[in-house]
Amino acid sequence: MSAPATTAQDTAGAVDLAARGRKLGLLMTLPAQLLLVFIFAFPALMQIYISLTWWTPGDGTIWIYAYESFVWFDNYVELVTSERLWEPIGRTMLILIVVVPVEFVIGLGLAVLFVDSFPGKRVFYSILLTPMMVVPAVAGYMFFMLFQSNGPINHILSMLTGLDINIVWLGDTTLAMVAVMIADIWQWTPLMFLILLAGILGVPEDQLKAATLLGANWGQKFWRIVLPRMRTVIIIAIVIRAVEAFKLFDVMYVMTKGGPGVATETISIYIYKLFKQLEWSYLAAVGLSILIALSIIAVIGMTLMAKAKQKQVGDVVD
Amino acid sequence: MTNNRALNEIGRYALILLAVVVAMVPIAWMASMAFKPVEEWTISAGELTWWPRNPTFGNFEYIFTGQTEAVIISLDRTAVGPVIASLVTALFGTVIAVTVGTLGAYAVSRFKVGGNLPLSVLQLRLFPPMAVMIPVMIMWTYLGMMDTWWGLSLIYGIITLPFAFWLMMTFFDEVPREIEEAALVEGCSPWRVFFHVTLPMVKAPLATTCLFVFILNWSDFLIALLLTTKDWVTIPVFMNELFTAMTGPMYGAKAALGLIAAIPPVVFGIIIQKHLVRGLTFGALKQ
Amino acid sequence: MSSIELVNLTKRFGDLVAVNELNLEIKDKEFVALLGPSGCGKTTTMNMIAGIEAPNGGEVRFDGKNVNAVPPRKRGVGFVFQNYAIFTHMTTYKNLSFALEIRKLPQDEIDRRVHEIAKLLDLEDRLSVPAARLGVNEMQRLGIGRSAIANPQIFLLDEPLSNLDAAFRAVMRTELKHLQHQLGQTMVYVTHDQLEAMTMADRIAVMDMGVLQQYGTPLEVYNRPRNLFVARFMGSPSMNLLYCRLTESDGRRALDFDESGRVELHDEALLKQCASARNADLYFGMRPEDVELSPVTDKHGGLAMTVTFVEHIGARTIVHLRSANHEVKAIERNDFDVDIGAPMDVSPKPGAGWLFDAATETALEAG
Repeated sequence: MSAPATTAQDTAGAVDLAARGRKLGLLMTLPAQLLLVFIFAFPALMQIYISLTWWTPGDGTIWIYAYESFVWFDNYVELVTSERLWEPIGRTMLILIVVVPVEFVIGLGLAVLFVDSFPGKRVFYSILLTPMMVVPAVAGYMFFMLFQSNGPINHILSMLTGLDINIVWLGDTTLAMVAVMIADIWQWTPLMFLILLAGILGVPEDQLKAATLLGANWGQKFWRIVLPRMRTVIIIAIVIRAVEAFKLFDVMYVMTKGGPGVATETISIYIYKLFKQLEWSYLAAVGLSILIALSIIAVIGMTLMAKAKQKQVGDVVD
Repeated sequence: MTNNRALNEIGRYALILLAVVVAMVPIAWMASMAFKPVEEWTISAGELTWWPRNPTFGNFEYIFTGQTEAVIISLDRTAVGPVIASLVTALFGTVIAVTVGTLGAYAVSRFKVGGNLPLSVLQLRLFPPMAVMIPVMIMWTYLGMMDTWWGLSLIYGIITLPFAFWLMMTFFDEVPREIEEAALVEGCSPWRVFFHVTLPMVKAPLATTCLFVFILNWSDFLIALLLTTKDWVTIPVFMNELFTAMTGPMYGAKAALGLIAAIPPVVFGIIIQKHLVRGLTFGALKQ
Repeated sequence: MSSIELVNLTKRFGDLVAVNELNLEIKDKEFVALLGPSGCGKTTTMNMIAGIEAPNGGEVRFDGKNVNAVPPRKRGVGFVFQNYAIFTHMTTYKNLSFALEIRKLPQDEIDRRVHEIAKLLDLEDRLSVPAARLGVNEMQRLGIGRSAIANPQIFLLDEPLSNLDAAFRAVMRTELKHLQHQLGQTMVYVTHDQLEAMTMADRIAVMDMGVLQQYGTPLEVYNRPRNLFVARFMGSPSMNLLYCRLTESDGRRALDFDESGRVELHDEALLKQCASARNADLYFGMRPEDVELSPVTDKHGGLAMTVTFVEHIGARTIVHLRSANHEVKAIERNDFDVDIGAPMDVSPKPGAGWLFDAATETALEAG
């Protein structure tokens, strides 16, 4: 394969990229490691430190002096016992529970439509991916405009029902939620569509042909062959979407700023409010707790994926 | 039998067209608003027009020059600054993320160093930014990086590092090692191999990664909201702040800004759409 | 009753004509091999029988009925893919029961039949194993069993043995033939291996470039090839084809091989062929095993050639000879030996030999 060796040692050293590059490798990973330390180590300690105090910038002192208002775990106790935190979490969960399945189903439906080739497929595909690529803050504004009381949504509803619809979407506690959910579904269904389509196309065509010849119709093929083989893909899609849903801020903020009142105040917006109100030490505690909670969820998600992959590990041929 | 097939085709097209309409309506509406003159910004529902009656570039003129005759209040700052801010910070953030990410990815792919680096890098994407912004803000203030282009670029580079890293790592894994090993045998040092042999081979993946990361940086809102105050406000933040007491929520102007902000990511996204799955799932799936 | 008829079957892929007006009839319970090199259209033909590909022209008929419009899943045809296409996410059992579950048969009936076929194919102790973990040989049997369990009257196999190791291939050949008799099916078998076709098929359809070259029993195709393609394709080493000219002198016919010599024709079959010759340029074909080598004597019976190479391959010896314009391979006993460079007299054994028209490349009619 390579040039004729002169001694065994020569070949061993020459061809083993891994061994030769060890020093270089450590050097090349250094910037990444440094950035990670920079962004993890120091801020983490800082956050832990502040969360154990009662400090706010309003005190007038720098954070280093936060120890002057040391309160140990009071912040943590408060965040667990008071209702203040659980409402935003509840709302975030509510959004998640509604939005993710809807996006999944619509995304799957679209993916199924795009499995075969048909004229114009590429163009339609690009168009359908566009919502995902719109800057979230801008998307939020789009829907802000759409849901105005004298806006297009009401206009369309009026046309469809014949009534004079003049709903103030963003001013009603329930409807604001609905509007925000719709915005999210609009923006992120393409992601599900993208991932699920890749999953469906990953099913070996031969096996589908074999199933056809054994008498399976479309539905049977879908349930017995396509879906079971998409286990990993489905988990990936849902986990990614769920994690992102938790981080939701841009669209919410631009559309409703958490309002009316606190009707659409999700976790991220709630934290932002704490920030604006200078309740920084409490915020630090909240932030840290969320970090820990999400890490646990991530670990669970990864184990689930590993297990699903194991079940399919038998697919040596694939 | 053919009848059935034709019906299926019609059904398929009907559904797809429906989806297309739903996908395009919000964007079209914003585009339409961007070209509407001031009078058409707020009309009662009965007279709603889908397309501007008198399309005009007035909104664009307004945001870039700060004033037009139509709007009484002029802006104290034009959109020129934020556009430059978005461009510069997204660009440098991309440079940082892609450089650091590519170096690290290559090392992990070829030299098996770094241990848990791929996974630890992944963690950066896990956490809601808001939850960790306090220490970051404090650090940034302390280091004098608030409201600066380098400060914003740095945090952008860090936040998108996971994508750059994983994308390049999966791409490197697909490059056969034989060519590099042959170069090694010829006497090249590992660095030369990387720089002069491997890198030229991954020009397209590099470009894809750059565009992908750029889209993410450009689209950021929250971080810019927190870390900029005046000088280096980016387009999304600027757009959000556009509000005057006299004319209220400046629909047209904001829509114009929104349009400008939305176009680069959409264009880039379509260019790299083949690799979107790979990027968004950190290489777990490929198209 | 399950006979298959292909009537003017045509399939085009863009400009490429993969199958060109194919006419073939396969009798009920017959084992027919579609034989030919890669790209000859055999797999496409089979796909059209199964319904996976739609023909551009012509008809596929089962028992005389046109099935062009019948979708593949309703044709009731068993199909074994070259790479088996086993459902790797299911167990062996589930693979076998698939066809029956689709038809919503009661569970105990399914169970009975799965065990029945598993026993037949020697897979009974592998039933609960994930199909992906089976060995290649087991996978192949599973591929067959999965289709066979639904008792299809027609069974299509696409090079099913090409992935197996040589030893097992020979075993499976007999197994498959046995299975076909037991289940009483019509079998269509695609292969590029002429030995496989010869050993298994009742009739062989030789194809090249989408066109049927010859359709007949193995012996017919072997001994009486219709054209040069079939002559070259069948047999290993393939038939010797020597260019010559038909001459006549003193009422006696002979073949002139230029410098290599002249062979007088006495054989009745060959003379009958000569009678239908349109021109004098011919190819003379003889199988390597029909070549007689003898030392050169004054009595020139055949062609004068020199030995160039001798291969001892265990059971036999292959002798390569050449003369100025011709090359011949001869098969002799394994203890046959001769020096390289030795001159030999080469002639066909009595009763052997087959003539082709050099221009049309087809065999001359034998009366």
